[in-house]
Amino acid sequence: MLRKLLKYELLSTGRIFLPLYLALLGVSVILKAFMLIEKSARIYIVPQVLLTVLYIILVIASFALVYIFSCMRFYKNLLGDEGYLMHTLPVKPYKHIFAKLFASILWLIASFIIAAASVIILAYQKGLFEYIFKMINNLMAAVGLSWSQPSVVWTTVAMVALSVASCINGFMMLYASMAVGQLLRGHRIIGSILAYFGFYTASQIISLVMLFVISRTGMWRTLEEGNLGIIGTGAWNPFSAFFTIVTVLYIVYLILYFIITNYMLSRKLSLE
Amino acid sequence: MSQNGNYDAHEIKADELLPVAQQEGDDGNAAAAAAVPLLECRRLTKRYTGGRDALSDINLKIYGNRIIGLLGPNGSGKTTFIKLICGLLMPTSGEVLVCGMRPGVESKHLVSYLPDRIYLNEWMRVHRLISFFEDFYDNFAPDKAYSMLERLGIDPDAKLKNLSKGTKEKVQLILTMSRRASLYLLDEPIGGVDPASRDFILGTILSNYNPGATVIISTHIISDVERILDDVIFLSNGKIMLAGAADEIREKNGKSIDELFREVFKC
Repeated sequence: MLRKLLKYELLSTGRIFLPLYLALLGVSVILKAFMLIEKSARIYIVPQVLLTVLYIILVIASFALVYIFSCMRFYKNLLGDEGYLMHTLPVKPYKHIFAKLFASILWLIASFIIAAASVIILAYQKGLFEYIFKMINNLMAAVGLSWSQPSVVWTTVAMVALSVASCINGFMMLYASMAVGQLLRGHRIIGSILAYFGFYTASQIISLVMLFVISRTGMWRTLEEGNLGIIGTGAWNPFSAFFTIVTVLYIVYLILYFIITNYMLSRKLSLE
Repeated sequence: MSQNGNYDAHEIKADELLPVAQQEGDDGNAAAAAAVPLLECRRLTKRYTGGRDALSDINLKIYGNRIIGLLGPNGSGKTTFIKLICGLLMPTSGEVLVCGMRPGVESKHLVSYLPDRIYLNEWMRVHRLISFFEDFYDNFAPDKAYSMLERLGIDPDAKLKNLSKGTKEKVQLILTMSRRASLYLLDEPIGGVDPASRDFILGTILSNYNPGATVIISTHIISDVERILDDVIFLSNGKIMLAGAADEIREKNGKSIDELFREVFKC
């Protein structure tokens, strides 16, 4: 059932994102073409500026729309009139949440890939990748690090995990806010916004307390010094430790948001 | 009015207002059906925040093979009652059971629901919606849906957002009636349509529901529906005023259900 829900979720949102990605890549290619001929003809400066503006708008849109559609789909499809169909399907509420979440994560990843591809289209010249790798390696060597050290790999993994957890947490916080907000019948959007600020404030307070605790430890002083070389000292260095702690915190948040959302959809659903 | 004239044991019991009508069926499943009601409400109450009770203390048992009219003026609690059965609302107290189960995945397999509003995804085409139903309901019959669409002249390739409101309502009715469900909940199926279409809709309901199933039709337009009803439930201010077999009520009061309704709910 989850697979089927996800299929319709992607069919619905794909109508927006696929043309958007196509447009973004198209604009990058045209812009690149202008850049290649620009040197010989100054007359192309106006279309080039316009295309650059369009390119920036499309990049921003491809990320912003992931969040906007994530909210709209959840609200309209599960809490609005379409909810009359979705909630009478023989499907457990948590599968609805997963379908919405997976679709959002998928589009977010797709947007990253497409945006990266567009940058590569614009910036590509022979030896670009070799140059980037060389630069990263030089920077790392300057602080005494290399990829052969397991601690460097581990710290990178912790950093990636943190980004992923923070993205999922972002979506789940939105879902939990809307699931709680629907209880305010007649003012559900206001309810959702209030719930969002409630969750935001609560999570900020907890994070601040955590930061305060961390700041009393030696780890913080090392972080403040910004000596990246310390990463080489071991897998559990101040940087990887910090990333791991924050990742765990995000995972706790997102599990709580999931529990709240699931409880609201299965026990407190109140369609208008 | 039963489709095959073959009655299962049934019972519609409401606040002891009327003696329990019970008929033994000759079907082997009748005993099993009688043991667990298709729909049971125990002290079912729904109160919206800050408001009066939309439904209060409803006790009801409904068995298979009946066509039941859920009758009452606007705001009497008809839609709330149906939404509680579907799990779209949660009771404030008491409980509602479908085949002994609280609303959930299992009960949703058994219930086919036509809401009082358009629930369609605007971006879909009609044929996509039919595969959607086919994907999620194993008791959905797509051929039945396509043949009904054809009879009505609705193009399966049409985009839902290009259809008129009346056509969308018909599409929803077709989807609802193309399921082989045990309980059909139809909320105001004839509320917004012209009298000519009413006959078509009632005809569609009568000729397509799963034999042996129970159909609950909520409406405040009784004259058009009365002839097809086996039982009626009168709802007023969230309470059951009257419930029982339509024939008995007509006989006892010496007037049609429509006349009785107009008298009871006179402003």
